[in-house]
Amino acid sequence: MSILSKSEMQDLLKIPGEELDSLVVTPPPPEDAFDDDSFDIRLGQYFASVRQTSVPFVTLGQTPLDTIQQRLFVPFNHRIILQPHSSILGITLEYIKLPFNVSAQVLTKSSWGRYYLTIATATYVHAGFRGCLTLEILNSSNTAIELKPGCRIGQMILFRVPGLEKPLKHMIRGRFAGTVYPEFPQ
Amino acid sequence: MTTYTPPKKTEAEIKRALDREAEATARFCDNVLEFVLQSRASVEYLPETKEFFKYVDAVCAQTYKYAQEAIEEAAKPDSDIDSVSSRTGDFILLRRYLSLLHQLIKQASDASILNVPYPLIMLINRCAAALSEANKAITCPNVVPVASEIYNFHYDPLIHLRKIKAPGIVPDFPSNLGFIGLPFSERENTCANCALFHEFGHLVYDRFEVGSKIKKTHDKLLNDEDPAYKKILSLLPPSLFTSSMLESKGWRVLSYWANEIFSDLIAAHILGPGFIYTLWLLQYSFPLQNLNVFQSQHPAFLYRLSILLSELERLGWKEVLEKNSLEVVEWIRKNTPANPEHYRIAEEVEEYLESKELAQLVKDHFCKQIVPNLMQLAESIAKPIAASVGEYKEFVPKATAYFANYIVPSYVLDDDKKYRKVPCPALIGAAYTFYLNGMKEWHDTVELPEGFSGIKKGAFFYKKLNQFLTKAVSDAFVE
Repeated sequence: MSILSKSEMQDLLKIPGEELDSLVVTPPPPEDAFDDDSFDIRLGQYFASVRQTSVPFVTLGQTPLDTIQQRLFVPFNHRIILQPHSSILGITLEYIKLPFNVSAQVLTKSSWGRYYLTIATATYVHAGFRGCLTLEILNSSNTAIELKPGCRIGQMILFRVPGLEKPLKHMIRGRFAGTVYPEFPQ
Repeated sequence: MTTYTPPKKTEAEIKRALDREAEATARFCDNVLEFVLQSRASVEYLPETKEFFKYVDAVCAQTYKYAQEAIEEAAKPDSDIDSVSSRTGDFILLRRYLSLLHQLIKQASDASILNVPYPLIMLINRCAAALSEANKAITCPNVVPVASEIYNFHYDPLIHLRKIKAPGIVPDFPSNLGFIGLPFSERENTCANCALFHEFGHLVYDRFEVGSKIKKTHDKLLNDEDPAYKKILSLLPPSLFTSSMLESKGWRVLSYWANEIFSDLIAAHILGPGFIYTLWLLQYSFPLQNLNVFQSQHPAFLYRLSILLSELERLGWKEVLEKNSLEVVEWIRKNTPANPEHYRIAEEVEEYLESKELAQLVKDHFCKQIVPNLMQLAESIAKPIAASVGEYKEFVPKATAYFANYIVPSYVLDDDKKYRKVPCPALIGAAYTFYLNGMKEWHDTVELPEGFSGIKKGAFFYKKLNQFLTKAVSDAFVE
């Protein structure tokens, strides 16, 4: 499994979106978002937090989403404050379609990491994924942190899956495919 | 015969009344501010909503100050009793003003927690800014989204709030704000919410004083004894109808219809075919037998569609419409009466105008004289915000292909392998084109968990399409 270089990523971006081996990142990252082996991803405008409810606890797959979730839209040039030791679900600004033979990993940018902010716990993205990435943003520091939609919050590293000549499945699968809002488990 | 004269109030009673009114008003201010504060703590508002709340803060602060001064004034032994008396009346007006604001605050706050399609509101506000920029003397209002029960609506406080003559105590309502209501049930239905552009058209109608421009034409026709009006007048029993009555009643009906047609035209100029699809799909919300009936506040639904179709065709959209949505175009052509005389008029209109013949003539006058005038006005006003046929032709096929491949089409790859931002009218048009063609690709390629079949699958895909469209429109604001 080899990490894709900047030029390989940019070549994939030039393949028309409807092709299975194309990489789509929309809005496209600016030129300076690319590093030699990764590109930066930005924070989107939608957030979801757990609201205060009378639900005593949640059970995976059973607690209806609407009872616990509150969605929030934050326009560009506005901010959201993440209090110490609190968390919120965010979403990447970029909608990403990975080629059928490329998987990815999402990492917190180190500058945010040093503020004790992490953006993802489930960091692996399967080959062929389509959607915005839900970010589990956690402020584990002792100070509040200001987050602004559009800020560069993470980076993506792409890996070519060796030996995969054609897609294992032709269907786009799952309810989480094509996600554009941060999603709680369903 | 004697008339009842209420006993004259003593000075002490007048002062006590003022105290009560002032205290009640101050308490009301506290309640309003507390509500704003609570809402503000829990959600992040759009800039326009924040601006509205800032205004509410200012109104409450001024009112509170006025109440404080009034109580202090009344407490003075040598206070002027006439002035005390007049202030009591001020507080009654102030509370009416505050209660109207309070309703708007509640609805604005609701809109902010209901996942309304904010990107559409931002797009509308971008149009408002462009119109204000192009017409220096006119402030086209930015809109504050508010949540409504069932219907979309518009509300221009400059028209309504000024009727309550708040006695110069509170600052004037900011001229750059207006309100658009979104129904709770449609909050995530971005396609259907394109109807908000029609509501925006109403605000444009108000601010550009389209009504008075049309009225001039209407009056001129009346004064010049236009043959149609001569005929109307000749039909009226002189004892019952006068030309001034016709002028006021006939104008009232006409102006409602004119406002609707103008707003449709503005929305069509902004969105191009996207708005005709929005309106066309609304037919499923009306009882079928009423589609060709001119109602008291709305012209016949079919008439609105036929006007939009002919206007868009005139503006160069014919080829695009036929290519992307022949089914819709053919449906409109087949179902709309060729002659305006064939539209019916609701009984309520006939009753209001007190004559079937008169209602018929007013409608014919509207269709023949007023609507062409509205088309000219809408075209000239909407020029700075009009959708481009060329861009639509270029981007819609590419964006539709992206939708089909389960990709948000905010940017598409052009022939030179460069990413280009898709203009919002093309995004909306592409979403509808994909939807009207049955979203077949998704049904064939997207595998959903067990339990998603038939209507549930269709609903899931429609929701997904709306989410993609919302995301794509929001990306239009990425700098």
